[in-house]
Amino acid sequence: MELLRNLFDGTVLMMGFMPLLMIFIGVAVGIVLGTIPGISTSMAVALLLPFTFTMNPLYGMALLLGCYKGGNYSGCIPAVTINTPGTPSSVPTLFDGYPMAKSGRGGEALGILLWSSFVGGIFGTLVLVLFATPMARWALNFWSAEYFALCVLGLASVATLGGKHWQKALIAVLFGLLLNTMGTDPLLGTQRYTFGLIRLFDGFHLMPILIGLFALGELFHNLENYKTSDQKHEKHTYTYPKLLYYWKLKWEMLRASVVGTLVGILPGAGSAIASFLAYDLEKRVSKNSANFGKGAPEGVAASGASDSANTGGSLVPMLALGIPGAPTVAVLMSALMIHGINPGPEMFRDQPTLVYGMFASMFIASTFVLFIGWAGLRVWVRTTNVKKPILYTFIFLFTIIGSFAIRNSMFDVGVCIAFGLIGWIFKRFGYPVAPVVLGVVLGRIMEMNFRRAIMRDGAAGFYTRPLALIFLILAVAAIVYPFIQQYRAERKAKLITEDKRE
Amino acid sequence: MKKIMGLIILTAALTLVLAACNRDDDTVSGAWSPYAQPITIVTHVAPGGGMDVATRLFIDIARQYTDATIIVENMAGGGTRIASDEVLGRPADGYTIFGAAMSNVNTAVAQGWDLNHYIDGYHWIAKIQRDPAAVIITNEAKNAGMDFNGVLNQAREMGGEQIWAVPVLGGNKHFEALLIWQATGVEGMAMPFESGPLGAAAVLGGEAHVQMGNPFDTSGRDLWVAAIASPERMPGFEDSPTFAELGFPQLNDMHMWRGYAVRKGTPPEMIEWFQNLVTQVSRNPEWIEYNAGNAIAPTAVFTEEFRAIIQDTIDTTLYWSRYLGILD
Repeated sequence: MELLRNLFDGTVLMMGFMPLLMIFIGVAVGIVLGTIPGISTSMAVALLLPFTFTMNPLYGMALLLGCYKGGNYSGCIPAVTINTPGTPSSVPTLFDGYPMAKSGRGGEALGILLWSSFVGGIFGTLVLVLFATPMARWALNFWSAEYFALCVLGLASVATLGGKHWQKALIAVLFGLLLNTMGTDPLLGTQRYTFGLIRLFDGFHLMPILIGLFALGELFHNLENYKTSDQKHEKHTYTYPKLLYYWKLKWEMLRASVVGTLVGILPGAGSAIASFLAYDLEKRVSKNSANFGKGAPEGVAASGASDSANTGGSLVPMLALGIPGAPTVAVLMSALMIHGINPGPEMFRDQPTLVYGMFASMFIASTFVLFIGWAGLRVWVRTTNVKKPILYTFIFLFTIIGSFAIRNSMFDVGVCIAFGLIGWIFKRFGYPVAPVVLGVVLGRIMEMNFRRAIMRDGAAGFYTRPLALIFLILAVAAIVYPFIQQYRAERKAKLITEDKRE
Repeated sequence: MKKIMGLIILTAALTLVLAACNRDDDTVSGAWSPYAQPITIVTHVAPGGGMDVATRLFIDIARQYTDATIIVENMAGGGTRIASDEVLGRPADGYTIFGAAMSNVNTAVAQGWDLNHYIDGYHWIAKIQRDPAAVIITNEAKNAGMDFNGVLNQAREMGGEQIWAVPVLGGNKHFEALLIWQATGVEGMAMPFESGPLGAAAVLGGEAHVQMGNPFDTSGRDLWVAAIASPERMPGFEDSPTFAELGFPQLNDMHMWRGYAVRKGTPPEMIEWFQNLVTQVSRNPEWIEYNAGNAIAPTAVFTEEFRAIIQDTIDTTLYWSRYLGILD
C-alpha cells in the first residue's frame, strides 16, 4: 500500500510541465543519437550529464532516464533499416528485422520493434518497482562460476544461429572468441598479441567490429552483386499493422522481457547476452522457428523486448545495492553522486520522492518512446526506399563516421573496414557473422569469470554450485537437442520411405 | 586581371590562415591568456569515470572564478597511454591539461614505459583529491562481531585463502592489500573484480571476504569500513577506526590521488593561473561538500610537493611490481 502511495506521489510530481519537458527532451535526444551507429546509449547519456549539474536532481534524472530509454530503443532502428546494429544488444534484431525491411515489411518490423520496446520497458520498470530489493539479493548469489556458466549457455545459442550449418557457426564463434585473446590480460596485465600497438592494449573495441561485419560486409556484398543495367528502383509501400497484430506477439514479448530483466539484474552480465538468449529461447519455442533469420516477426519482438526490459533490470542493482549493472547506469549513478546522493538501500529510506519520481519518469519515458517513435517511424522506414547508390554512399559514410566517433580514432576506422572485408568474405562462403559477435561479446566475460572461479574453488566450483551446474546442463542440452531432433527427423523420413517402398 | 589578382590575394590569405592553423611550435610568444582559446582537460577515463566526474564538477565550479572556456576530452584506453600520448603530442602552450590519477603512474611504471617521457615529460601542477584506502567488509559481518582484527584472525585461520577483492592484479589496490598483509603478518589471496562496484558486489554476495577499496565504495551499500587510512576518523565514517588507531601507523598514508599536469615547457603564467584556480575551487563549499559526500579529502598540493607524491607512487609501484615478478 505504501508502495502504491509512493508511486502515486512520484507520478503526481512528474506530471508538471518541467519534468515532462525533461523526459520529452531526454527521449528525443536519446532516439536521435541512438540511431547513429557508434554513439552508444552511455555516450548519449554522458553527453547530457553536464546539463544536469545545475538542475533539481529529479529533473536531471528524468532527462537522463528519458535518454536511456530513447537511446535503447533507437539503437535497434539502424539494425532493421540498414543492417547496422547501433549497440551490441541490437544484433539479434537485425537477424529478422533486416530481411523484413528488405522484403518491403520495414513498417511492420519497426512497428513490432516499437511495441516490443514499449512492452519490455514497462515490464522491466514494473519488476524494478515491485521486486528491486529481493531481486538484487538474488543477483548477489551469482558468483564467477555462475557468470561463466551463463555465458556458456549464451554461446549455446550458436546451435540455433547456425542451424544446419552448425560447423560454420562454430568456426565463426571460435574466431570471435580468439579475437578476445588480443589485448591486455585482464588478470595479470601482460600484453597478448598487441604487436606493440597501443590501440590494441584494450583489444578490439566491439562497435567497429559490429559496424564493419554487418554494415560494411552487407554493403560490399551488395556492391559485388550490383549491376546498373538491370537494377530497377523498387519502391515499397509500407503498411503499419493494426494493434491487434501486435497483441498476437504478446507472449513472445513477455518471455523476452522476463529474460531481459533477469539478465539485466546481474551486474556485469550485459544486455547483449540477454538479447541473444531471448532470441534463442524464442527460436526454440516458436512454431514459426523455420522462418527465424528470414524475417520472423517473433524474432524482432523477442530481441526488442529483451533489450528494452534490460534497462529496468540494470537499474535494480544500482537502486537496491548501489552497484551499477551497466555502463549507462554508471553514468546515471555519477549524476546522482554529483548531487550528493548515494544510490543504494538507504536511498529508498532517505530519498523516497526521488526514487519514486524516477520510477514514474521511467513509465512516462516508455510512453513517450511509443509516441515519439511512432512519429519517427515514417521517417526511419523511408530509409529503405532511398535509391541504392545514394543509400550505399550514406551507409559507407555513416560507418566511417560512426566508427571514428567511438573514440575519435582512425584505428577504429581501419578496424571497421577490415571487419567489413571479413564480413564480406564470411558472407561469400556462407559463414554466419552473428556468432563472431557472440564470441567477442561473451569471450572476455567468460575468460575473467572462468579464471576467477578456478582461482577460488578450482573445477569444483562448476559442479558444486547448483545454479552453475543447471546452466551448464542446459547449455549441453541446448547444443545436443537440435542434433537429436535432426536425427529423429531423418529416421522418421527414412521409415516413411521404407514404408512406401514396402 | 582583377579576377586573377583577387584569386592571388585569396590564395595568399588562405595559405596564411592554413599556415597559422598548422602551427605546432612548442613555444608561445607573448603573455599567456586563458581566454585566447579553449582549455582542454584530457582524461584517461570514459565519461562517468571518477576523474571525469571530478573534472566536470571542477570546471563547473571554476566558472564562478573565471570566464575561460574549459572543456573535458575523454581519451580512454591503451592502459591510460592514449590520453597521455595525446597530451604529450600537443604543444606545450597551456591549453591542454592532463587530468591524471594514480593509475597513470602505476601503469607507466609497471608496463616499463619510458619514465623520462611519461612522468618527467610533465609538470605536475596540482593534486586535487586524496582518496584514502579502506578495508571493507559487510555490515552483516560487522553486526556479527567482525572488525579489522577479526579480519586478520580469519586470514590466519584460512591460511592464505581469505579472498580480498581488488580491481586489477598489479594495481594500486593490490599493492595496498600486500602492504597490509606485510605490516600485519597475515596472508590473503587478491582476486581481481575489474571495478570497485563489482568488488563490492563480490563481498556482498560472499564470493570475496574483504574488499580493498576506498571509503566511497561503501556509500549507499550494506558495507562497512573496518579500517581507514586517514590521519583522523573521517566525517560520515566515525565508527571506522584509522590504521594508526589499530596499531599500524605505517599504513595510515595509503591513498589514491587525482590531479592535473601539463607538458614541460608550458608558460609559467599558465601554471600560476591554474594553481590559483585550484586554490579557489578547493575552498569552494560546493566542492568541499561533493568531496565529503564521496569520502574524499579535497587537497590543493602543488608542483614540488605533488612531484614528491608522484615519486612515492613510482617507488611503491616498482617495489611491488618486482615483488610480484611483474618487473625484473
